[in-house]
Amino acid sequence: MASVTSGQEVLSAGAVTTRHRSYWWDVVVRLVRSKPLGLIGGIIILGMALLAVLADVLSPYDYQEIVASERLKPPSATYFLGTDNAGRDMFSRIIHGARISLTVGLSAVAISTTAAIIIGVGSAYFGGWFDAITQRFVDAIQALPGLILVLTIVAVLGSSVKNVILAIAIGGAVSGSRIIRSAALSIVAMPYVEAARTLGASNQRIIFAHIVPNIMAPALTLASIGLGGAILAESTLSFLGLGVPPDVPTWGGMLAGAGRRWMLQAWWLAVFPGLFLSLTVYGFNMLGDALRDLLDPRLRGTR
Amino acid sequence: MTKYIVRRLILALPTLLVIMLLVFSILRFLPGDIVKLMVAEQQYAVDEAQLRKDLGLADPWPVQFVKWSSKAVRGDFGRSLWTEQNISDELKNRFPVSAELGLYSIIIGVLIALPVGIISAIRQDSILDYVCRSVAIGFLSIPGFWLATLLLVFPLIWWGWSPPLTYVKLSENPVKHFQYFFWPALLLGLSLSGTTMRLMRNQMLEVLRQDYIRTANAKGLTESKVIIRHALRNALIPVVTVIGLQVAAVVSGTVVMESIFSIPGIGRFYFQAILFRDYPAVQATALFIALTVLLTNIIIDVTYGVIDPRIRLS
Repeated sequence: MASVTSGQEVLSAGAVTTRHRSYWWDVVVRLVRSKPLGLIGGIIILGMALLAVLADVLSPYDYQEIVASERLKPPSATYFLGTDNAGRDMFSRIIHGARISLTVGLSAVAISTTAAIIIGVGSAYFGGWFDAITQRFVDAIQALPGLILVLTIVAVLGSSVKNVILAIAIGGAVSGSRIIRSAALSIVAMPYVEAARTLGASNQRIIFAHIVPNIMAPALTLASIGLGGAILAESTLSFLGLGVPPDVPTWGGMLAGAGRRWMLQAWWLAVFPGLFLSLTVYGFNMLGDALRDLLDPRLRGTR
Repeated sequence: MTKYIVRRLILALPTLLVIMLLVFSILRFLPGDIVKLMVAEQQYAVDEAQLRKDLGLADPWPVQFVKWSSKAVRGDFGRSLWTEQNISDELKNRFPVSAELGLYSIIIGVLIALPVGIISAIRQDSILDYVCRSVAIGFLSIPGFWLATLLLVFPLIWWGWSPPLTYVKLSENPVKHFQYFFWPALLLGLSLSGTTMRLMRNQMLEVLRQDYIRTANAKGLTESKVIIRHALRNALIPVVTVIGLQVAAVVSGTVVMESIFSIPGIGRFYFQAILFRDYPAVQATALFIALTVLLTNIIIDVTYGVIDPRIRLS
């Protein structure tokens, strides 16, 4: 949200800025008052974010320290969530996993939302052949199901955190640009855009001062709904063994690979990573849902 | 009607061309030398020059594209480097399996989504509604691979039971066939039902506000009659589209479920082709999947027009 306000500060005069600020503040107030599910989602995310940021401080043990004598210990006061087959503390690994999930999710969505705005607004504003060609590419990429697209990009570029972020961002940008385009199309047709054009405003001014601020609500909604999906995509990739390198602790990775063989003896290996993952995605989906209702009733029922 | 279908098919052609260009470029315009990796990691040929020739990478790329696409249009994708089978045969044998899984998941998804969505709408903003909605978002949030993992671990610990993991054809043994598909289709269906459930609820709420519902209530019909005969029929129409849009989600889901339950379908083939750097198979399968998604969407749009006479197909 910080980037939204700062963007608007640059674009608008001081008095207007205050009004915009109170608009977003109003959204938060309405969320707390009338959207209990969204509020719960927000609290879950805040908790996960705290765990991720403070992972180094909060983890009782080094997440990659292998202690052979402490293998497969069940959850106890010493090890909250037990230890894995290499004797590593599960709690420490899981909160470091939160870090990767949130980093990948937030970066992928930041990139994809920005790209979706550029593609969508460009397509809507310039129209003509530019729009026609862009939309054929969007059609084509959308014909490839999300996981297929992401798998292919990662397979070709190679497994690294950067490439996983990029692959998820490409998928999100393409489908997101459709929604931004249709929102921008209705704004391009507004009388105030025509008025600005009549007054001799440049394309740049019309786009940045009139169109972009007005699609911030759908863009933010898109981002908050996309976050859950991005985190799921990352964990699915890690589960399939094509995500981030195996030495990085991820929730998806903990549920796959070496740990799988030990789950019959150690149920906690199968339960906790999935629980944290589901809870995080659940939080983002509930918050995204509430934000969508608050910010942009037109988007109801999408996805 | 025929005119509309033909028009839709013609409009799909430029999209198909772009898809072919994108799939074609997987092997060619990406950073790093894939041929080098294919030789180093999988030993697909004695040396790079040989593999480059086998893959048809020796010509200038416009020539390559014409050669590759003219073969692809005729369904000739060559041999898989990894299984050494004809790729078209692989796809032909595997498609029915994935289609079965997809179809069963969609059916299960709808069977769960409709009643819950309807109840949620009739009792809007009640505790029941909140529970149903949270459950719907839950299904969207809980990854299928985790549920599958739990399913494979806990019943085995508690009762020594695990779901069947050998594929049985419907024609061979229907009972075993459905037993085999039940679990993967249920897990996939659960995640699909989340979206449908929410749409069903929204549609139902919209329809329940209409005048004809008030009229139906006013003339003394029972609640169940109003809901089923008047509201549900009208609310169902847009839900058909969302089921169509789920085809893409189903394909993504089959990759995961087929890998976990070792189902010999397209999704697993694609995943393995990627793992083994079998790029001719990757290209063929990606093209095949994109074509399937494109065609299903056209079919759904046409069906939509047939069930809803208010929509003119033009």
